Amino acid sequence: MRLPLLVTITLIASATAIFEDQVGKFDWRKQLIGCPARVDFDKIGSKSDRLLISTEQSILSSLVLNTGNIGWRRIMEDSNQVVQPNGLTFTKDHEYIYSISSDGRSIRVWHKNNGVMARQLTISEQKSTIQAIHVSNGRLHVASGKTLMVFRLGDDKPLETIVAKRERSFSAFFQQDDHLVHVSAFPGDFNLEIVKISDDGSFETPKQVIIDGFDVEKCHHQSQYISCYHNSQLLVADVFAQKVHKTTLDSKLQSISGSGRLFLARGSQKVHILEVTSENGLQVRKSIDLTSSDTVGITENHESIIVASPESIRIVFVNSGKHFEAKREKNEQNSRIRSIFARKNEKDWEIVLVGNDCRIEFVTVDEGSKIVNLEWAREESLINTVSVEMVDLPLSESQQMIEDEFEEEGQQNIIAAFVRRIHSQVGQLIRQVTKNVEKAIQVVTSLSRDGNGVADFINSVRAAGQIGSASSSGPFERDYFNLRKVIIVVTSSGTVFGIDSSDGSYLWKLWLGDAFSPLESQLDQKRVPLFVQRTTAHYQLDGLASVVFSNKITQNGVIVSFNPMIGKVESRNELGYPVKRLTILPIHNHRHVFPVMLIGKNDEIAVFPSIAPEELTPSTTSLYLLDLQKSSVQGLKVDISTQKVTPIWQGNLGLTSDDEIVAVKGKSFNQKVHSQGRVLVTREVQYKYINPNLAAVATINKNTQQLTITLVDIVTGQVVHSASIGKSAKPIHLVHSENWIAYTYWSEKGRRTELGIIELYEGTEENHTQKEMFDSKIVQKLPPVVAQQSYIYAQGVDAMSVSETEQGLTTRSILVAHPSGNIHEVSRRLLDANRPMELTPAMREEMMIGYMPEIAVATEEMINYNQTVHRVRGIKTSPSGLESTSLVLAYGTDLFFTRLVPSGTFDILKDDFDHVLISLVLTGLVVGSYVTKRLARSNALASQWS
Amino acid sequence: MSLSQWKLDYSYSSKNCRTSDSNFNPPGFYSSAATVQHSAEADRSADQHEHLARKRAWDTAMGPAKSLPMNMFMMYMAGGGVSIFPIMMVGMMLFRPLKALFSVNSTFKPLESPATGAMILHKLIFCLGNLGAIGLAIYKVHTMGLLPNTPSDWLEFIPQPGRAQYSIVDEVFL
Repeated sequence: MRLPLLVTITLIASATAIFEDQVGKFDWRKQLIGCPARVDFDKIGSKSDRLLISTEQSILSSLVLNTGNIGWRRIMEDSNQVVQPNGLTFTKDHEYIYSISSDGRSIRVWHKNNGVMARQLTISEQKSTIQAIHVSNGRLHVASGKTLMVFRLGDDKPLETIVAKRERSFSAFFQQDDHLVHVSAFPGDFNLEIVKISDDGSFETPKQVIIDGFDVEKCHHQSQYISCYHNSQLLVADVFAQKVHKTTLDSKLQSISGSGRLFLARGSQKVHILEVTSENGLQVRKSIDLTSSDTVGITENHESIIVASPESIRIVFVNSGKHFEAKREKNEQNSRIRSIFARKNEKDWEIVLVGNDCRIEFVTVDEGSKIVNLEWAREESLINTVSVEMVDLPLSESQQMIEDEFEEEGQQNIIAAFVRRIHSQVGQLIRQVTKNVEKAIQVVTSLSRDGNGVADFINSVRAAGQIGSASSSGPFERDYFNLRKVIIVVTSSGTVFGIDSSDGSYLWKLWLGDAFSPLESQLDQKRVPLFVQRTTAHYQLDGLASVVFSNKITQNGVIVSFNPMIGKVESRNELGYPVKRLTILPIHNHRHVFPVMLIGKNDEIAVFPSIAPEELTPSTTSLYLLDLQKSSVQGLKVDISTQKVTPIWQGNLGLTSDDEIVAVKGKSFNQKVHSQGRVLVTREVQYKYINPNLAAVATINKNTQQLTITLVDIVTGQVVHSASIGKSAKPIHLVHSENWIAYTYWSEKGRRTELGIIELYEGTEENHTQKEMFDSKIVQKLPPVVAQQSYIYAQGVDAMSVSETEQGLTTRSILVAHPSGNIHEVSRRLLDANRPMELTPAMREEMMIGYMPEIAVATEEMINYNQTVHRVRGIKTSPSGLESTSLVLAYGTDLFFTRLVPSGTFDILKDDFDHVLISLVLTGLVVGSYVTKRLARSNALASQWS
Repeated sequence: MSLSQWKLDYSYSSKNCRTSDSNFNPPGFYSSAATVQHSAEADRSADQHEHLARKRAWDTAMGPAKSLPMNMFMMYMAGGGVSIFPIMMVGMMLFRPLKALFSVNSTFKPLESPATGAMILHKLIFCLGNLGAIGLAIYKVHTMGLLPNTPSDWLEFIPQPGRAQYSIVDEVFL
């Protein structure tokens, strides 16, 4: 019994692609839970306190209260990646958590302490977002959509079921002592339907109660009450007494919340605390003055009200007149607080603050010292990452000196240049010497500390070597191979983060303001475009990056520019109109800034920062755009100097009204293609058709289920190639790079995912003319030669991307994220449209791979080995200073960063290369040879004397 | 030192030399008889010597050309694969004739004699033979695909063309 187990364990351990000692060396993963919608304080066993959190991203998780680490996390299916503001509906008893999952179609029962699923029950075939769940008396009561069900705990079959005629708009369970009722409402009327659930679990006949002006949006329910507001009027309905209390407050209400018998009715200036008692009905107990940045919450035991603002936390006791205020450390980059979850324990208040930026903060407030202690904080908005860029770190001091040396070249005479050179090189020498001396001192001190064996010595030398290259402890400057970068992450929640790529730590955070709203693209995706306008290559000038979003209130476009190294906002401009399209210009101004051009609704053009007409080159005075509408496709020309948009061509690209555009992909304008052709077995060259103005448009026909990929030249509107695949369906992913397009689709015919590739060539020698410039307006003699191939891919695809290296010399790899949480690296050598059907010996000699219908998914090709990354929405690749290495960040529910070497590390020694041992052996040999030489000489002398 | 300058002096004898004392000679050895015979054949030997020298000179000149077929066969046997042994063989075949070409004069120096003359023709043929061997080696390198004589070999040096127009594929909002 034990032996097979042992064998299995060893097999699992060996199934990783990187060496075991490399795990975590240059990759990191951040697990996220999303924006909390509901937070419950909970306890496992006697002492381990947990937070049970259900989030808008339908994730159920348990956080360790003391550290904020994830105890367990369960990710539910998330069909359309829709944000659910109320989170998952769940309830709990002392051992289990009961949640309604898969859009209201099933119940899942989870063990509270480890998150293991105990059971799953099906409740309905229909999706619904109106859900309620309650557990009591050994029974589980569920309402989802039209259905209302009762289960006995542990049973799979419901005791009783009612199916309503209509979809509900409100649904909740209420319990008082042993009485349980279900209250529901239907859209369009003010009737509340109350169903009593008797002791044996059967439903009694429904009763109707009318509440005037009942509006689900403006109502809140708690223990036995439903409270609604309408302007300044507050209605509280007691479900069990079936009595409605009414009161009118002095100001217009904005929101209602509460717990137990208390209600918090919030106006713009103050919050009223009301209580329902059997004697007096609904009465105002207290009023607290508020500012707009305050948020109000109540503790679990209904004793104190918590008012949190960015500067302080006020605690007001309900029953006595006491209150006190504790100061918080204010941070401009944290947003207003959205919701408060609090409880009081013996010593202090434990408060979970959730911000509009999805930051979860756990603080404790002590009454005696009046101090707010920040225990931990989690930045959960990263789950909504939409744009990522990687920016080089600033040049190090020695690199700056080298730059200095060449800075004023040509302006001074030869002697001055020579002197400057000597000067800077002496400076470099001094720097090097001091660095080495420091290192030596470090080694010596660590040696005297650690011991005096040879192994100790070697280890300490090694450690010293690593300190130099270690990233996290080093200074904030570019490393030798430019592998450490600042990752700028923009989220659709309105936050921007600077993340250190070496360990995933946050460098800075930027909150874009309460008026933030992401741009909505035509493909129904939230976008917050991010542009790096100036890299850190110009060391006298700071880097500059910009994000564009829209104002929530006015819908106008806003552009915020900031320094990508420290996150300091440089400028914030609001346009007078909504943004329709935007792009970064391919030219920089005299301050080395690439301006961002924003085009408004009525073709207004704004350029940030402005660019002078004389800085434009002939090829950049006008830009060409592709304008895809539902039925027609337009080519637009934007004249930057005169700020005019003119249509150039118009057509439909062969699209009908049934065709739905699913993806449009162009190429970035700084993509480098090192090799201009492909060498054939005959040693001829097939030249690549690299058209920088080519856009790939994927459309799917609703009627015929035909996927069409059209390659269109944006400048002329010429359709370069078009390919159709029958019987295919979404999801469709498209990657466009160099001269090829890779795409995945679901094949209805084969019932599998397929991976296709299209490559474009100009043909062999005779059809190729050497070009200085690629001009789309010069008509090609012949259409490009197209090679295409499809492969079976035995996994689903969540996201697809392609590796990017500095010179474009390394073979590219396609990165495919699976729904199972793996990221698979498919080499272009495998995904090749020219894999021959029959391999000749000559081809074999060239190490070509014959065509095989399937692309194998091997576990060692997973770049994230066993670090599962869920719901990947995008993969960002960025070149590093090493040609072999590409930096990868996959984002979705988790963030995962790693280095990718598509062709192996051909330009660097392996990282287990032992410099110390080699140099020790070498010095040993040299010394040994000298010693033996001396010995031999003296020996020879001695023998001659004898 | 050339062959013509080198001679045996048979007439030399001295009192100190042990051979002058006939008592020490082995039985049946007459030193005078040898001298006689030599002088009788002296004329014929000079002829033969000249002939030999000429023959040797031709042999040397024709050497490289003669080894060509064998080289061809060896190259054929070496195969077209780019691995260490074919590379070594081809390298040898390339460098040996090259070396020989640089030392034409020193190769023919010992053969110089009045009989052979300046040996211009020999040297020429020798050079041609070596050039043939080099050509063969180069052809072999070519068939192995090691010569950068096709466009594919210069592919990586073709610069990426610039852009006459800039175009943008972006998303449309609103």
